Amino acid sequence: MKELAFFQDVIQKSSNDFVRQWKEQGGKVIGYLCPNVPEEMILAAGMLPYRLRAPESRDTSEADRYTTYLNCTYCRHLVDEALRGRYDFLDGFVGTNGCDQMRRVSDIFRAVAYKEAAEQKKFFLEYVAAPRVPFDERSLSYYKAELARLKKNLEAHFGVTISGDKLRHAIRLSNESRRLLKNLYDLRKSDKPPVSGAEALSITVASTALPKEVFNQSLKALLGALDGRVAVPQYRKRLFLYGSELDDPQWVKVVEDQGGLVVADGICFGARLFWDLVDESLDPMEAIAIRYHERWSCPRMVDQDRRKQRIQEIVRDWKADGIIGERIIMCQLWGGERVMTSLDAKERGIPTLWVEREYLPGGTGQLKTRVQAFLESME
Amino acid sequence: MAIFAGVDIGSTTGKALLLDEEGKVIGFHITEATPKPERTARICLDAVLEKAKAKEKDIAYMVGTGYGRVKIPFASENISEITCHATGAKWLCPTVRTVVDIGGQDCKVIGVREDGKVREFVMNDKCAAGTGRFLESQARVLGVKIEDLSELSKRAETPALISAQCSVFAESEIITQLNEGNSVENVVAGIHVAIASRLISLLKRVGIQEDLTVTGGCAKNDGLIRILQEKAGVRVVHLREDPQIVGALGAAVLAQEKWRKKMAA
Amino acid sequence: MAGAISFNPEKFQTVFNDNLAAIQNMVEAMQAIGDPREAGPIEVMKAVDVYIRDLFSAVEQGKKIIWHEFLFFPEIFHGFPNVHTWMTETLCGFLPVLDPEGLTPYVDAAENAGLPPDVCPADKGMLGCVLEEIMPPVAIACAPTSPCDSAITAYQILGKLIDAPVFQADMPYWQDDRGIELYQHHIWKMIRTIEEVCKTRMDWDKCREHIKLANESVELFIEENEMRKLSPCPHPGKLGFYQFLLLTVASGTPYARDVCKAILEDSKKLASQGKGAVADEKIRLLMYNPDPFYDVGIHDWLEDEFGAVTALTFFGHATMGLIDTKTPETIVRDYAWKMMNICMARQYRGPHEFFMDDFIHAMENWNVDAVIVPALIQCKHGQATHGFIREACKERGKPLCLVEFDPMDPRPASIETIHNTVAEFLETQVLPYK
Repeated sequence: MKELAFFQDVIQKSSNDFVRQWKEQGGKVIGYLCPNVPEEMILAAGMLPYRLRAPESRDTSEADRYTTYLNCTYCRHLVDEALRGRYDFLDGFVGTNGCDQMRRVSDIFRAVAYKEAAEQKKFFLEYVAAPRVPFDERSLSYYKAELARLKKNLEAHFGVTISGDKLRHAIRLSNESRRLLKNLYDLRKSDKPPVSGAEALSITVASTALPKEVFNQSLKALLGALDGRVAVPQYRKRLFLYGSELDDPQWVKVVEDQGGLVVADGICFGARLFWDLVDESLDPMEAIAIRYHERWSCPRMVDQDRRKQRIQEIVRDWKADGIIGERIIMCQLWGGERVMTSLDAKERGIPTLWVEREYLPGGTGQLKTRVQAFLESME
Repeated sequence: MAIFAGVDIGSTTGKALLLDEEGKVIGFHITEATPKPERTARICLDAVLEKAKAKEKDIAYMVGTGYGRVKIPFASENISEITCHATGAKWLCPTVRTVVDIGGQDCKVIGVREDGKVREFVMNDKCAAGTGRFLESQARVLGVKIEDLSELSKRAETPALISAQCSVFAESEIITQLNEGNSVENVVAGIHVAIASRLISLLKRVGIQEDLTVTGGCAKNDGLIRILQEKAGVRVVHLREDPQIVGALGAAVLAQEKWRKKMAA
Repeated sequence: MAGAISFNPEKFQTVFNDNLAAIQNMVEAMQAIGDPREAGPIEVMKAVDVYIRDLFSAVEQGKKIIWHEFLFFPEIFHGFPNVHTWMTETLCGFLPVLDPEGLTPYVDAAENAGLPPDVCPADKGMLGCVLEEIMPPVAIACAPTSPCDSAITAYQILGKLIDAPVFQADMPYWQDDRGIELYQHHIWKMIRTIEEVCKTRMDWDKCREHIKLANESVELFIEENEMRKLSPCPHPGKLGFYQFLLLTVASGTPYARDVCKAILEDSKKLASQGKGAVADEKIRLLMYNPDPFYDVGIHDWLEDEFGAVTALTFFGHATMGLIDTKTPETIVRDYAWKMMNICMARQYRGPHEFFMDDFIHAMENWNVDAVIVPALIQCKHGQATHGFIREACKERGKPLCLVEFDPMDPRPASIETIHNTVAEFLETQVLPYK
């Protein structure tokens, strides 16, 4: 289906043709890793926000001058790509304290990979330090101050003005993406979802790799063309997907090929990307800060009760039969979340399977066995 | 008369088992694995058909399992070895609630529900610790036969302490022990202790519920089983069939179930 | 399962009585050795004995107990009348000291509950102790969102296990006024929450008294740090470990202050006599990351085998300051700043420079010949700092030994393995050049 293939193709590599065209037209690209760096601010500065991945990385030998085998492969591959200059489409990078290992990725980008370029003022480097306690006034103020500094420095470095109007426009664009994605996910509530989990992940990942207008248009076209489409005519069970950073639809496909259709998720390149809207009635910087600070959180936030609640609601509303959780080996935050989610699931009698993986594909035989056994145990 | 076949293709051995319509085991065969799962499956299926004096066309339903399960074109369907081991163990011993499978290249612990379904499972298939492969390679280092490991272990005075977490590093520890004059018996017992410890941590993850049983080739190693029993604090129930064929047996039992369901529909 | 773990008086009594006996044996053994290097550790272990006996009394009297993470020094909690404190990771700190495998059953318990092995053993151990029901009763548990991911997730898990609130204070990323603003706000919130939960009220005068004692301890600790710049270094390498652990449990008590005082006086006496931990100091080392808790004696071994004194250790590095006791506002503000500056919170939570600056400062100011950096296997930000550490040591011409181990569990890397690595390092990269 060509409307779908568009999304699947555009995320195959570390970058894509739209980024290339954007650059050719003189556009600037700002890279980031975690949505605690609000895309609206980069959009309002007239630049393309690009969430970095490393689908083409094969090696961590460059990275391991700084990282080690005891760090997670997501971080190691990002560092490796950066040190090899494969993110040369970037004009800047904004780091954040998503997790301990991501902190060091930002440090290595700043102190090694892009140090020289930044010193020559050819590269923009900034950092957003996000607090960890939602619904606290002062924590929110701290975050607001971080965003204010980002705004100021973006303006100074690039000689642009991030006006209220530009922010409002950016918010509208991003909110539109969010609404469209929510529509897509709502369609997956049906007994015959029009897109599989793997397909949905290509779409959500693509939303972080394309100019907003292009993405929104393409997704509208897809939604228009989905009528009557049944992604998987026969499946065994419906699954809710949860866990560490995952941007590889192939991994989800392996799960789904065993008969476990992923109908919803709580991953950061998936539902948690778009679930919460920015309040368009508030002052834009205020609205952005509130949205990002109080959105559906990841385990870095002291917020487990709410995450538990959210999972419960979605499992119920999307009629999931079970939960499949995945943890990138060495990921401490999701290791802890695994314990907490398993306790909750046991309490409520929801079948749950947790597996471990690395950032890059591999070990599919082992994954298949576990998923198959899990599905069999539910039948 | 319809017969049912279970074929379990692992990375070290292939097993095939036949059940008759009354659910009686009419034959089984264990063969060394070839690099091609389909070939291994063919070899052990042909062998068991001959043993049972049966014909392939009498097989009403065949279930393939094990790591090579998707590569058995003549199987009616494939089911995970986890489900098959749980089914097989329970069929042999209805009171079974925890199964430890010590395979050639992986080990797993399966919690079994009263209805025979899998409650929970945990697998170690990422490293050799706690697997038959580890025992095999250490037997070679020690210059002893695998079949003799059990007796050697039982004659140990004090199991050697092998602290390495990784079986690759355990090898140099074992060599050091021998060089320093520790007996082969003590070292073998030490290896068994190390494997049992690894299995115990898997057991605790799933929770030990009686009755507990062990499947896989290593279940025939009584020295290892005694140490595991001691550490688990719970009796290990011995199954009346060869523990290596439990997966294939479970697959055959499931084949019968699936066929019956189909007939009823 | 949430809230399923409750106080088990029999298990608690058994384990803690065993610990008291073990501490007594240890102190007697150290006294019997008669080595002047044992003087400081003996005083610390005697103080820990007092700490545990006080805990027993508090439990018997049914006092409300505040559990606090090691990065909340207890002086502030002593301002609450009729309430007692328990440093949540105490057993993680002291069980391996008493017996190298002492913490392993609890690490295993946490891993069996599904916690991955690559989480910090302080958190595995802490949660394991909770799961095994050996901890004292809890009215409220308090922790900062620091020093790392492991702690943040562990305390969220704790919240699901115990039938008591868990308060996590938002520790800021940056080291500035804005950060102090944020953190003091959360400390105020914590104080109000404790007042509500424990039905108590902060007595600022009482608090003031304990803060003054804590301040004295800090001053004594800072001065002890300065003494360690001398050659020969008056006190052994292991002392920093003991002194820091003592402060995590008992900062703000008179007996902790007395121990710090005794240590400093001893330092000065030895210095005046030109004596040191090692009679013939051949090598001065910096060990900058937590020591192996089950082998703090590694420093004795370095001193005996190589004449190598660890002039400064990470735990022994006094990086915190004093608290102005003038008003409740100054107390809370300065306490917040102090907590942002205790070891680990200060070096681990921000950009790598927070670690590197202190590391380089230590390297350059304690006159060291070589550097050992424990490459803790579960410490993720630490692992990813190795590249920077290597570069800094190379720039300053200091030989570096990165040695991998688990700080509280001797199984991943045995004591022998650690010693072999360090010995090879000294023999090939340090001694030939001395």
